[in-house]
Amino acid sequence: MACWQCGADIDAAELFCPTCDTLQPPDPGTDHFARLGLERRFEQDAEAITKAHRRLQRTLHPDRFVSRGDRVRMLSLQHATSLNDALRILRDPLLRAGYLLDLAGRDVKAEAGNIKLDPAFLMEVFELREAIGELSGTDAHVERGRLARDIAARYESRLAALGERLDAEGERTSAELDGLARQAAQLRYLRNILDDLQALG
Amino acid sequence: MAYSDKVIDHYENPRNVGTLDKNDRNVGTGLVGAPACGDVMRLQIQVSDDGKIEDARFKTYGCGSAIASSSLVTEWVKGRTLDEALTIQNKDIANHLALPPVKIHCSVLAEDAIRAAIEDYKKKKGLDG
Repeated sequence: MACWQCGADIDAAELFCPTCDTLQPPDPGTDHFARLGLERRFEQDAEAITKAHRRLQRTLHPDRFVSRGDRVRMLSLQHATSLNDALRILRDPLLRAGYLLDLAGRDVKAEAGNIKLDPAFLMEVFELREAIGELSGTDAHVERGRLARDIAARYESRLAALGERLDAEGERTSAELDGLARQAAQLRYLRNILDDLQALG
Repeated sequence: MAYSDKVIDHYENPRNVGTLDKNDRNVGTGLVGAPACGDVMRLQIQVSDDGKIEDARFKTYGCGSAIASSSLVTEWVKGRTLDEALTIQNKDIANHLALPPVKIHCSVLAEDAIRAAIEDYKKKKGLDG
């Protein structure tokens, strides 16, 4: 593609034109892993993600372009927004797993229908929710704490198992991907319960 | 994102929250979930001998839009026949509550819940689903 400023022929992944050093639009073909210069996989070093984000924001943040033209400032804002999205999604292991599935063609955030949850699992979640709602009295917070530790342990071990399967070598069948998407959806339920328990204190 | 007044009204004053006896032969229970957000919704109907929905209850663990959608549906199905209740579409719910596009799945969930409840009732009664 051509640099929008000087017309030089450049790679779409270039942040700045090598000829005129002008900021280029974010490459629509770049995923969040590539955006932060990370390998596309579940296993990540949280510290490395934060560092990559900070390093790139120093180069691309709108603060660096305040005296430049409208187009450059708009482009820098687009870059900064994409970088923040990448940080938010990749730093959170569950969102990261969902994003990997998304890249593999399984949109776990899709509006409806394409993931069928096991009715027994839904029942388990519902009953757990009801039980938490019915806790009362002076010991309620103790019981909530016990439940939170219980669910957190399940959440962590299931998340680790999902991560291992996501990083496993080799092609995956469509059915296997569906299974992984279901696991990710189940983890979303457990995570919501954990978040709510935490909010209750 | 701002909730509409109708969502806030249903959220703050939910109609028909509660539980019907799921083992009662006249009660149909629908339990559905939205994998995208981790919401879970239970909608129950109590059907009279002449095939009208005489009571409806819900319990929803989810966002304001999911609670409002299920609350609204319990209001709408009361007094209707099963066939009439089946005509409720998610877009009617979404329009009534002025749900933004990212919350449309909450209205889909409520439609799924009422369908599941009716199906459960019909199965209990040995009627064709």
